[in-house]
Amino acid sequence: MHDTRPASTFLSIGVAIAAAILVMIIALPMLSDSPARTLSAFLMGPFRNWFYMGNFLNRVGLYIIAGLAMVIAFQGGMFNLGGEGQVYAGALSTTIFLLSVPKLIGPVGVIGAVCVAAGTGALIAGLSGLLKMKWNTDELISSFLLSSSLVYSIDYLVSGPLRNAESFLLSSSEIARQFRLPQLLPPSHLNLSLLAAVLLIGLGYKYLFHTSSGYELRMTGLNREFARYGGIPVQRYYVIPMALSGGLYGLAGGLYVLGTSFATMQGSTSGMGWNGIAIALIARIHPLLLLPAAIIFTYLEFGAENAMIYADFSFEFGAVLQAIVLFLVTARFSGFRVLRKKGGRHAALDS
Amino acid sequence: MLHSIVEIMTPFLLAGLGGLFTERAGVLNIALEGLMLIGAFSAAAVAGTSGNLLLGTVAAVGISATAAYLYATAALHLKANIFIAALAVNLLAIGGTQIAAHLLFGTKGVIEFAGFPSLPSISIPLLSSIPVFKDFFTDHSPFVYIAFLLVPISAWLLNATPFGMYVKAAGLNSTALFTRGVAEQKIKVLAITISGITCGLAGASLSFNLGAYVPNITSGRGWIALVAIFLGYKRPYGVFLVALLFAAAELAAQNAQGIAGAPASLLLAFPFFITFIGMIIFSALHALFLRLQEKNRY
Amino acid sequence: MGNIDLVDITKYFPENGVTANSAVNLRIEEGEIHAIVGENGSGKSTLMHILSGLIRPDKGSIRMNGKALRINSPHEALEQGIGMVYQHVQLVREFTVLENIILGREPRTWWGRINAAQARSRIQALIQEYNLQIDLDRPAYELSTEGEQKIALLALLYAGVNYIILDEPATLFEEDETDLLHRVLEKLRSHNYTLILITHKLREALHYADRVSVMRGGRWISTHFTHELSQSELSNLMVGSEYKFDHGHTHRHTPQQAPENTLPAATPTVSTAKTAHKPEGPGPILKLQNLTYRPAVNSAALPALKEVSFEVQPGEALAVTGIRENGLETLEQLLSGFLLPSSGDILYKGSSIAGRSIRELRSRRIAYIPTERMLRGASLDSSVAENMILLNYRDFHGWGRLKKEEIEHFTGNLKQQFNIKASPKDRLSGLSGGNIQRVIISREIINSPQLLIFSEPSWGLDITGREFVFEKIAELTSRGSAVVIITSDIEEALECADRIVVMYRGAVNGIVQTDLVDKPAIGRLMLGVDTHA
Repeated sequence: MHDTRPASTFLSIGVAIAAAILVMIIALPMLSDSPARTLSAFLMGPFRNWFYMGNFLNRVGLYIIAGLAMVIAFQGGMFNLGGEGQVYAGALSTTIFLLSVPKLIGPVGVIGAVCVAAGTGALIAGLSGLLKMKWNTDELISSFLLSSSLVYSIDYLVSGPLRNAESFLLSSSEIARQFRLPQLLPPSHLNLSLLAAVLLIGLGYKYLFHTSSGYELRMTGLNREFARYGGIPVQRYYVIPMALSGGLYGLAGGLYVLGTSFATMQGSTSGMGWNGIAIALIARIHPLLLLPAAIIFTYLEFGAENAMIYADFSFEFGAVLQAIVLFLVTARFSGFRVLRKKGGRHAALDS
Repeated sequence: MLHSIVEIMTPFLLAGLGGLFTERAGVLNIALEGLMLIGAFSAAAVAGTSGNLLLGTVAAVGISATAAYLYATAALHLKANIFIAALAVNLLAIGGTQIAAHLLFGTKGVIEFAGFPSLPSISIPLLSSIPVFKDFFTDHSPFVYIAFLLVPISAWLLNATPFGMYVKAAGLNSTALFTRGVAEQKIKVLAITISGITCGLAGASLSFNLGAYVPNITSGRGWIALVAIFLGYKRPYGVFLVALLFAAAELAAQNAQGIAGAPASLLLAFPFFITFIGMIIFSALHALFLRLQEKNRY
Repeated sequence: MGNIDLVDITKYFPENGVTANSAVNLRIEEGEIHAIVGENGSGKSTLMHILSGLIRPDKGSIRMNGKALRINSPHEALEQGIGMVYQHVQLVREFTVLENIILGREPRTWWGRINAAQARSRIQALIQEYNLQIDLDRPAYELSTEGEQKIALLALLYAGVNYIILDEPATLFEEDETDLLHRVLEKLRSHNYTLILITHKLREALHYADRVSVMRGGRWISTHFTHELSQSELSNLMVGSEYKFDHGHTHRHTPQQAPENTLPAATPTVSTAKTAHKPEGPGPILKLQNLTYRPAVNSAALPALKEVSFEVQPGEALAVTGIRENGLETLEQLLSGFLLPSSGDILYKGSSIAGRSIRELRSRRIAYIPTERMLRGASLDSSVAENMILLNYRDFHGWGRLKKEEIEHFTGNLKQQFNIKASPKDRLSGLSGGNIQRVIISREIINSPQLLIFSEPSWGLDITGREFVFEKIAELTSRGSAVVIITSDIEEALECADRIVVMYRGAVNGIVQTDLVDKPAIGRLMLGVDTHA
């Protein structure tokens, strides 16, 4: 309906982002032998040429979906820590589905694949929600444990039984041509999934703020007691936000296969689950802020990776970046209320 | 076989006992994994270069505890969400150890040190001669005994000292503690710092056992320790039993690999999976217990 | 030790826009018993929370013998020998009484263990001295409010404070013949403690204290020696000159005949409701049959309820009253569907609703305004509109979509009808307490419920707010709805109900017609001195 958060909180996010950029600007050159080139590579990241730009935008799209997954979980008061496994499982299930029906006509296959991907993620995360509902199993831990066991299992499948023997990569076979999403800016990876992501922002916003289920979800997330008092069936809102969140994560994995990798490669979607959390927090758990949030985050990550090329070594910079952003964004993150104790101390003592 | 189980359980037990303090203080500490990884790296780096295990242990404990203290302070005083801050610790541990490994040793893979000191193997004179306890007290690294010793010490701290009382009160009703003039924030920071200390020890024990540092050496042990706290009913001796159980399961899996030839990568998934199952069973039983209790009213 | 001066204390709560204290100056003299009186919301508790270190003032200072004190936390207040027994005592329920008393001040042996034996003997001595009998080895969750306050007082004595602040101490001891409180206070005085009593009961203030300070609207009004002041003078000071004294009148111990005589505005409607609607009803709207609740062994969060039976007719306002911990809380949870009864039944319009989901109760037009207004009754982080549509949002959707225009129409309508001073888009936590109450009440009443369960109706409200609430209750009953008022305030029960059910130790100790009893009679029922079946 209306965003009631004060404007000052947006300022704190801005400060956090600026600080993150500053950390990168200071840290990156220190890790490299040619600081100036590294720095310009970092800052120029996506603007170098259209190829970079396309890859950048493609990643923005996928991260928007991952971010939306966490926005919905957080709005519903649930902590989905299993994004990594859900994305990976979404990618794998898409691949397996399409490899098993190679003769299907394109659009049908794509629609089927999207459903399979989202369904897989929703089932996995929904299980954690269901366990929370039934037996009060902490969803944060259970989703992480399940996700981790899935990640290693899929690693095994992709490097073993499902591995494409002809490829030198640890990768499954590629999906048939007719299933691949139209490319928007070849030779970059930019494809139709970016548009899907933008569409999903709109859908997510509509769902959360303009449907009765979204209202129920948000009220339950903000104050479960109040929701119950109003007759909202709060029990099912352990499962719904988790399932939606997992579904979106799975979808991100599926779209990655459909438009970018065309196969499940070991570790290729790694980091997307954590990035979803970081981006949702930058977006202040609001779907309409996901686009700028994803752009900012991807810019940082992309730039850092780009800078690595000019350093004499390379490594996964993602984890460090995620950590920095999480630390900075959540300090004084007062609007964030998952598991926060309700009511001040004064209120607890006074009548 | 019990002998190997005891070795395997040690890191679980150490991390679990530290995490127990934060859990009782009302903080779900999901940073155990990262803290343990930081400890493992620091221990290997310092012991490997200095050739001194004690120095390595001190470094592991010091750095891991500092990291825990910083994250606790950031979370509790800057009002950051504690889970997000802990998540950041875990991610920073992965990326940070990698960067440090590169800067210090020029590699991001396995770091091997020439002449890495080997862990002394100790037997406890009297206890090792009792048949039942033999495997618990014969030919183990000092870390095993430290972990054993920490079980009664934790129980004593929690149940018999003012500090333990504050920890429990912080978890049960922190406002009550505050109105009695005890700063519950400090208690929570202290509890998290304790978990940093024990995770440092746990990490050191991992690295020293291998005599090298391997990326992701902890491979989820921190998370498993966290679950062990719940399954052990948030009590030191309970954590001990659950750690023993998990270690047995892990050993069984390793043996299965040897016999049935299960692939190594699948083996990595196993601990997470078994912990997940354990957690489900536990919470189902606990829910059942609560329901029965509800029925048996006086 | 010495005199304490509160200088220019100012405190503003941005979360509800209330200036709880503005430039308050107050002197507490060593060794005196000083009462602070004021209505709800006059700022007396806030002032004492500041003195006890629970909250920090925005401006002002605390001085002892002219020297500024640093009191930023309860810890620092205790260091200065200042302690407070809060109205809602904070305990660790899982700890024993002994552990709760020594928490924060544990004696220890030389190797660091808690020295329980030493603590026990010291506490036993205190218990003997002040006659505060309590079993030290019971878990705290088994205690009544009275026991909790004993723990809090013992903890302060144990900690060795010199200044003791008591927030509404007499809520428990009211009309107790033995007057335990009085003896405790006298004993404390004889041991040179300085005592501060926060109360809104004037008789109590004049009876126990040496001096009394009056607060109103967050300001200090005046301080007097109690022997220089009559009760009516004091009540005039407390309520302020703009009100005529009819309300304060009801507060006094003058026995009341019919409460209607002293009630403004709402009275005529109440009495018409009584005469006009009672006989017409086809049957009771609500009927409790031997309703029983036995708490689980280890989670005595709520007191037990024993075989409670009563009926509420259409058009009737029925009050359930009693001293806290005698079953009112439990009854509220059972009636609202938050708790399942152990046995017995609740009939609503003839059919059983025990064990039905809250959702079903709501859809069958049962309205409920809980004691926990801010936690259960409202979502402070949501907008006013989102709070308003809680019961009606399903009316505004088509195909799952919420229709914006209809919501705007609905919320605008509520805002106007109930005179709510806020935009529907505002965040609820930004509203004043009174406005939040109006939002809650408007939402519950707008659907013309058949049954309203209303807990502590005038809780946290000023006089106009009270009148507004009583008017709404009268309106509902005049339209044939039934209202169950659960209140611990006898005066409130007398003012707005037709009949009163008095609870004592979890059971009904009497059901009386409002116009046939006076306050002392109900008081005796509440304390279990008398029994009416």
